[in-house]
Amino acid sequence: MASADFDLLSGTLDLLVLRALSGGAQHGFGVTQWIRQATLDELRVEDGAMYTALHRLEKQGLLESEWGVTENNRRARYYTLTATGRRELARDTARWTAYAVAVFRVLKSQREAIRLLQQTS
Amino acid sequence: MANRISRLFRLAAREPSVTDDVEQEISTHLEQLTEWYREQGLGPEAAREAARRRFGDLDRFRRQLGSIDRSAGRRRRWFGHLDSIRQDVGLAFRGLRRSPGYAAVVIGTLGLALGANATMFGVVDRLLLQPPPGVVAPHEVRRIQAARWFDDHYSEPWDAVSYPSFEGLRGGVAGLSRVAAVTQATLSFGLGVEARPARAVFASGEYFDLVGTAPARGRFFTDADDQPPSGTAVVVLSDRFWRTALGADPAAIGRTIMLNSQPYQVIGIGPERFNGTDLEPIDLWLPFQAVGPLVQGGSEWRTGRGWQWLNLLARIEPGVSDELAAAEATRAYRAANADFAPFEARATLSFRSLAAYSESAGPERVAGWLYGVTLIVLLIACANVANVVLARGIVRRSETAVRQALGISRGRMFRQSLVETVLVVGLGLVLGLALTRWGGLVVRRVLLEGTAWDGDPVNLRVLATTAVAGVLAAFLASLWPLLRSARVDPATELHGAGRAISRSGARARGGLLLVQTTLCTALVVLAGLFLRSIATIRSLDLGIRPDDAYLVSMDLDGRNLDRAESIRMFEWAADRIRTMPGVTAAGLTFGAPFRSNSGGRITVPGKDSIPRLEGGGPYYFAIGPGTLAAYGIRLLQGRDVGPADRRGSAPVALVSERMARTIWPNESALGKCFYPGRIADSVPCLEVVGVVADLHRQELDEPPFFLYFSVLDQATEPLLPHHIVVRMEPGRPNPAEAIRQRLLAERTDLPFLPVQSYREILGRQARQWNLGASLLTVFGGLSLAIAAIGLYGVVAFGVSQRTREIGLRAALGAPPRRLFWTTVRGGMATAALGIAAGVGLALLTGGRLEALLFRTRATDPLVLGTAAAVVVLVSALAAAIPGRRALRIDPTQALRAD
Repeated sequence: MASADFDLLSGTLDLLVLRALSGGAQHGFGVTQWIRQATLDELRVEDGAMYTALHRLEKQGLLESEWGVTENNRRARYYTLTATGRRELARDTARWTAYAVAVFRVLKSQREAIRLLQQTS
Repeated sequence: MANRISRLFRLAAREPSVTDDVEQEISTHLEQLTEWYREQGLGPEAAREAARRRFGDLDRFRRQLGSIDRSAGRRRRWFGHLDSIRQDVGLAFRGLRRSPGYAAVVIGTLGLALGANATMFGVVDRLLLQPPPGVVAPHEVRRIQAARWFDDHYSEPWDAVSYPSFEGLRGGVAGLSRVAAVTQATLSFGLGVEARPARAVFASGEYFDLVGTAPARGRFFTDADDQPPSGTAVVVLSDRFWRTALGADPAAIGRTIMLNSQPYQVIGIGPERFNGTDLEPIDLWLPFQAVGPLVQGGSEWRTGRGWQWLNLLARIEPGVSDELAAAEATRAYRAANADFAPFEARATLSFRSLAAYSESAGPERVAGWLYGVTLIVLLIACANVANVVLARGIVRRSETAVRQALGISRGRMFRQSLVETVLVVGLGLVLGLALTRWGGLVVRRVLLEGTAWDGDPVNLRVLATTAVAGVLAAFLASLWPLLRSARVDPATELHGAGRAISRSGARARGGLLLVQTTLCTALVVLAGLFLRSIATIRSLDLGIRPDDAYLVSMDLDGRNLDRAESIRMFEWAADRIRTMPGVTAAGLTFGAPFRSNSGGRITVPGKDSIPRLEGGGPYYFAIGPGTLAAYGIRLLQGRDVGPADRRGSAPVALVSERMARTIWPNESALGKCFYPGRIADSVPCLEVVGVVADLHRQELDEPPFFLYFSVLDQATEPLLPHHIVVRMEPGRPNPAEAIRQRLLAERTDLPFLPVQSYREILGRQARQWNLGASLLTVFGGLSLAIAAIGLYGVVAFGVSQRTREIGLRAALGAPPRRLFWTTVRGGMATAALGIAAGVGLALLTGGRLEALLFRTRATDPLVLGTAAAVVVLVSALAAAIPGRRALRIDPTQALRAD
């Protein structure tokens, strides 16, 4: 069960991290803050796990990193999406939406699903 | 232990960068987060605590991040390598395109040599190493051979035994799970215009059980089909015959086919490529007891211990030694022949593996040698390539120096050269395999005709051995010189010292040239020896004239004709053939030189004993009118056999010159008489009416023997004619088809008529020398060409390196001839030394070779002289062409360069 949880989580987390970076280069702290605000802190993921996701995505070639300096003069690692990362984000978004729609169809009403579809498209 | 420690240190030395990065990243994050919590209104301690909590297990994430980064790093580095290799390959391709001459020489040389090597490996593999396809557990199967006792010594073992001997062994020998007997015959499938020859194996009931193969269709015959007196008239077809003769008829099982006019029912078809235990293509298998009507002499073979016509196969039980099983088999064999002549009663049996070719040992021994020769060719090619690579290394010295000075690491440069080498060798390998594909087919068709050898010449085994040879060649030819040329000192090179010739490099290249010329000369000598053997065979006086002579066979077995009817049928055929245009003579013959003959004792009135000759005898052939002329046998005294010598008239004979001289020394043999057989009174005395020149009986090389010709129609023994000998006018084409049509025009029930030219029959005899001569000429020529290219390269390179020096000397007034000699001298001296060494090598190793040659001494001065002269001539040419370039050097330009 634990591993199934993790898989779902890690797939979702990856998507969120990619989405967090779709606006441009960002350091790790920025990414964690964005995800917390965007999810209203409902995922309850440790920051360490987000870093793990960042590094893993970089290893897969979806992200690139570079050392830079923050506005407060701290050395920080800045992450950007690569072209592959951008493609992956688009694909994952589509896949996730389809998945979510299917689940909603079962759990809630057709209308809810359509609303969701209209929202994302 | 030391290794582990050093690894520990290496890790410790490398890790900080990743660890530091992770540490830095985490601490920045924690600081930023703490700051954020402070902004939210938490106290410093609480803020730090909250940040820690939100981050999670610090140690765990630290480890996780570190391990992800390290593996990412490894991956990046690996891709980096791949990328730089791709760059190197591109660079190598461009480099080769820039110097097409270099690429052509290296790829061509290696390709040809590897191709020759792979082709010969394929041949050796098929002839010597591979067991026949389809035999189950072939390592357990043996061919049985027997060494016979001849008064005071054992003969070389041969593998033909009599049926009673087989009966003695099949009853059960400890250590052998099964013994089977086989023999081959050519039958006529169908009659008249439709008839075609079918190569048949007569096999005992145990055969297929011993082989272990399952049929593709129907069933194989067993012991139950092979019961005396006449077995079941059934036949098993090979897949090839089923497809070609029966059009792959799916309803073939159960069909009745006519073999020599006798009906046989098809019961099974062998799996694809299955060819029994023989190398020649086999069409049919028949059970022994069922072939009675097809075998001459009725059922005599069942009891006749002089009929040595069977080959024995045995499957040895696992764990039993060959010695033990052979000793047991010998005991059974001797017991079966206890009351027979001592040469059988004291015979000793031994085993041969199934893999080695079943017939005479000549061709495959030569094939083994030829494989060795191709390895030498490969060695020569390697020397050549090494030379070219060395020269290229020297030419590129200044380029190398510049690049080193620019900071490209030696490792990187070495890797670039390595990639170039691998590329070139790889291309050579591809070329070699392409040549093998073609060469294998040519060798099969031209030199090993009549061998069941299907499938691609480039199979996995060939591929594997060739790849190994290629890698070794690459190492010898390229890595070693590369390692040499990697030692370049940029400073001296860039100062211009590189233009002076490096002494050590010249020595290395001279050494390679020497090795090359030595081996090449030895090969040319070898080719010469085989060519000389062929010439000797060609010039042999065989007693018959093989050119324009043909042997027509007519198999009337299975028609229940009596002797007189048989002879009448043959006489009818000979009469028709005589009237055909271009035929000068034709005659009947029982037995034929180089095909078959009979022997027996004779008794001479007035002589107590006749001397024994080394080759034994007397042997005899039974003939009719016209036969002597058709063979081209010279009549020395007396008269030929004529139409008047027939049944009822006084029996006559012709004797060989040696027989006449030995038995009746100092007097004429004409008018003398002798009795065939031991007892003088049971048969009439044959009167000698003619003496003929000595002729060969069976082989190209024979010790002296007695021979006579009797008249077929007058023979007292039930001899049947076998063949009609036909002599054509010189230059006429093969008359096979014309003869068949002429005879079929009158009789539509004739079996297939095989027609063989005597050149073909002799070609089979001389196969080992033909194989050796033709392939050695090719390989010798190949090595000569490669060595010539090597010498050319060395001299041309010398000229290009010494352009300045030569220009200077020309300017100072050196005569052109002198300049020419200066450039050519070094290469020619090395070549001369190599030629001398090659002749020496040939003399040293030649002794071992003489057994493979035909009446040719390995020290034959004519061959040695000619071979040396050929190599000298080719070397001189190869050196002179680039040497002439030295004469065209313009002093002013040469000195102005650089």
